[in-house]
Amino acid sequence: MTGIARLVADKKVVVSIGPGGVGKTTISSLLALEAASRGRRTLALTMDPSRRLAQSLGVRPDAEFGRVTERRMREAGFSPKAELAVRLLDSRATFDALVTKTAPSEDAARRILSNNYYKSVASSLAGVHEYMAGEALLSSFEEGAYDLVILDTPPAEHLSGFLSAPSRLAAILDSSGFKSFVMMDRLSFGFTKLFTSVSLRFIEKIVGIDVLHDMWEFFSGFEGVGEGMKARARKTDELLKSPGASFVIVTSLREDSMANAASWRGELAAGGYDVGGMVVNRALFPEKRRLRDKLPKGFSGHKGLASKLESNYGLYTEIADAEHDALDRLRREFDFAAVPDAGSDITALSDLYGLRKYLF
Amino acid sequence: MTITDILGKKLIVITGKGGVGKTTVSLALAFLNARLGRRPVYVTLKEVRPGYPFFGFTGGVGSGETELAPGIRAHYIDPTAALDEYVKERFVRLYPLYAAVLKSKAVSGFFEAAPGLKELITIGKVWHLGNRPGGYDQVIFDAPSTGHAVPILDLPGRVLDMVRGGAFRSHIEWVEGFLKDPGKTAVLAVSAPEDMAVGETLQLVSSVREAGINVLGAVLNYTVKSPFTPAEEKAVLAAEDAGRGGDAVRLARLTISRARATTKYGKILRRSRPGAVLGAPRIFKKDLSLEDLRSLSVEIENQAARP
Repeated sequence: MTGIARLVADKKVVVSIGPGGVGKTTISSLLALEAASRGRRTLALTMDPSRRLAQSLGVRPDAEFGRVTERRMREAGFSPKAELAVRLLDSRATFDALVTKTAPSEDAARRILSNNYYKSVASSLAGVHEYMAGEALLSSFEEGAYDLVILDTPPAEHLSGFLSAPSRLAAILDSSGFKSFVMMDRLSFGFTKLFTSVSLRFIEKIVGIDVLHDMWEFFSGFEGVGEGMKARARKTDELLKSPGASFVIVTSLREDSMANAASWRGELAAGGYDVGGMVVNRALFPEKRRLRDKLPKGFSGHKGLASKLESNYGLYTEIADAEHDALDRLRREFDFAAVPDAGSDITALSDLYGLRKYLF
Repeated sequence: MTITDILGKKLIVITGKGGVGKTTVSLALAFLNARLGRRPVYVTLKEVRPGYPFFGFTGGVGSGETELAPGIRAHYIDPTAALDEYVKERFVRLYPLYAAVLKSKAVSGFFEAAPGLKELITIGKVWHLGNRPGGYDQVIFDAPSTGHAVPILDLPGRVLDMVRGGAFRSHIEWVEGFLKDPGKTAVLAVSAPEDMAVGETLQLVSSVREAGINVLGAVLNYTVKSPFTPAEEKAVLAAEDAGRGGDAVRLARLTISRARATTKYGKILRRSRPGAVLGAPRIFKKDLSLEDLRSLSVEIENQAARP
């Protein structure tokens, strides 16, 4: 069994990470289909699949949840033994649900959800998408309805985008400054009194009193929620570090993408997370052999065609050599699976089936 | 889209889906400027550490000016440093005091959370690079991918309602002023012949226009032309299906499917009228060099010159 096959057979949580545009969603979908084929009840949490891929995965337009039935998987070539559920990640809805879940009372939750600042800004704060992806993973896992939850993370430039998002966001939402403002308010120094501090005068000079008021209202109401959110983030992190969880790094063969993958691998291991697999996606020449059969056979009837085939072939030789060397270099360092560039969109379940043999 | 349309703007914002080649197109535009004797600057929000591969250039792109190639200068903008500079310029006399305040956890936490503050100050800094005395002729802003760029571009409209006073309000109005001035700023969307990339481009174009910002057009990257006639294509595909022909036939098939995707998505893109659509041909290399980007800029110039 390949390393990646073991992950879908044994783990409870698999998280795929990688930079934008390398095909993370394709790879995650394939992992999920494989898990269902091995009889595991699987949930795929995904950020932003193309409309047609979402449709293939059973998610109707404007819906957030879908199912791939065993019949549809069978039609595409898979031999399913369990259904596959698919959920599209919606940061705002997850944030709302989290506020409702962690607020001390229904009233407190309503106050936050209707606050100006929350409505227009909070869901676009740095780290919110990553944080909410982690939260969606944890709450799906807690539902207990699945043997395996696969999370396709938002594209990240830096690994820290996903891993440190909870603590960064918690730092923002729970800034000690606001906490002390709240405390001072409770000790009845009065709101206006606060403005005597240089910090507040400075803030006021820059953004004006209205923003300060909206934010003040939001942060005062958020105090209890912030604690709850921090506790959830800790639980997510514990889940990610547990023996039941593993990361899959998806990369392309471009030098910058490979440099990222290598450093992420090191960072994850140093942080105590398991890296169970690495996938090199969209390789033109994923096989070990070099290009051969240069002269096309069987086209003697088409004289011009043979030379066109040859010059088209010539276009790819430089990439083939460079990829070959890059794969060799990579092979000395890591165990990985290489998946070819299909040359066209991966949108149907049968397209995914065609890539199956490269991973498992 | 003529050369004058492209060069006439002080600020070109380049965006698109992750992986479509935003940086490639941004730098190609910088080369185009330089060839015509102008001073462009390439601006990114992603720091490139020294030693990290960047089109064969390994010196890194940090804060301050880096010359990637003769006439091609690059800047990384660090949002935190931009905020500090903003405060310095605004409050000359009180700056030493405020600089200390800015470093405190409470206040820096506040500025992370304040609506759009860092983003809008960063955009202001991007603009400023081209407009200070002795500045550049054109600022080419390699913006974050669509999902992150649109929220920044329509930010002024969203936060003006909230920020009713303070120095920041006039800053937002100023940013909104140059972003919405079609003579000064334009967005160029980068796309690729793939379902998702084109879908995102169409969404991007409509959101940017809705925000009142001029869209210059789109660059369809990774275009491929088929060298084969329809009859030859048929013979190639038949041979591939029959398992004959080996690598040469497999690669011919790859070229054919890429060329078909180019035609298909080129049509979809043009039909939705995102402005002019230029094609940037796929370069058959695993990694591009700065020299490749220079060649790409010639291709873009030739296409833009055609009526």
